[in-house]
Amino acid sequence: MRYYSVPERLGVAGLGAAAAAFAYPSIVRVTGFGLPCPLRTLTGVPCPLCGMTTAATSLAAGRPDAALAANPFLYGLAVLVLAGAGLVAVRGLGLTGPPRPWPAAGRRPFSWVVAGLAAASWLYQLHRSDFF
Amino acid sequence: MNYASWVQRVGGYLIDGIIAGIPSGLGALIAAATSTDGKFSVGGALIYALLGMVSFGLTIYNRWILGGRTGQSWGRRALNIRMVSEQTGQPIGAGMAFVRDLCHILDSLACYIGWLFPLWDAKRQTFADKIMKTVVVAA
Repeated sequence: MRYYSVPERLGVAGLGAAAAAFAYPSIVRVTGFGLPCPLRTLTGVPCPLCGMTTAATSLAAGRPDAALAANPFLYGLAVLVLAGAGLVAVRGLGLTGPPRPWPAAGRRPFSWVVAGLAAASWLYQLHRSDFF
Repeated sequence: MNYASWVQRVGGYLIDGIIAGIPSGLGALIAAATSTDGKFSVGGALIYALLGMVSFGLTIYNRWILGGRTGQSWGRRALNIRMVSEQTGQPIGAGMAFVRDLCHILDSLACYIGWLFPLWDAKRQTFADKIMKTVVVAA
């Protein structure tokens, strides 16, 4: 099996999550079991990814406004997933070479960007839940 | 080191969960089928409880005893992967396998993000793996 880069892995996992977003409302309706946020359930405080399930299922149901209101960062994730999945396809077709690992110095700024986005998402969820 | 992929890990976990869930699922079906007005009958509830204990027993044997002593639960064996100590490369034992599964609570607590960590982590570890210093590798 060939080596898959991190963006490719995220792309494939994201496609799986997108497929789950279509099935999720039916699963909840039939079984009665949802996917609660453990942090919110235990402490009442939302986590940075809160609203993501609502946003994904809303988008899958063709309600982009509701998705935007629940968690606007879903759209950024969707772009990343499509880019990652596209990369899988491009590599699968042999149009580009195998992935090369990023040097540690290259990963660090990316980690800061992810941490910044997570912080911004958390602030949005805290605001959405009337914490400020 | 040849770390197991996230898909393999999820697959192994699902197989373990399905195997352990069969008895309790069967118990739930029996209890539901013998219930009246939405209330379990005594016999149905007893069967449900007994089969629930069978599920728990399967988890103890499969996840902790077998998984801890050999590194391979039934699910991991099916996917040809094993869970070992990062430092020694050897199985961590039943007790530590139990503690590791307890640590999985932390993987869920932070928006389930710990379960996704192997997608991008250099050693493909969950939070529980990092705490217990374990890795899942190709068998």
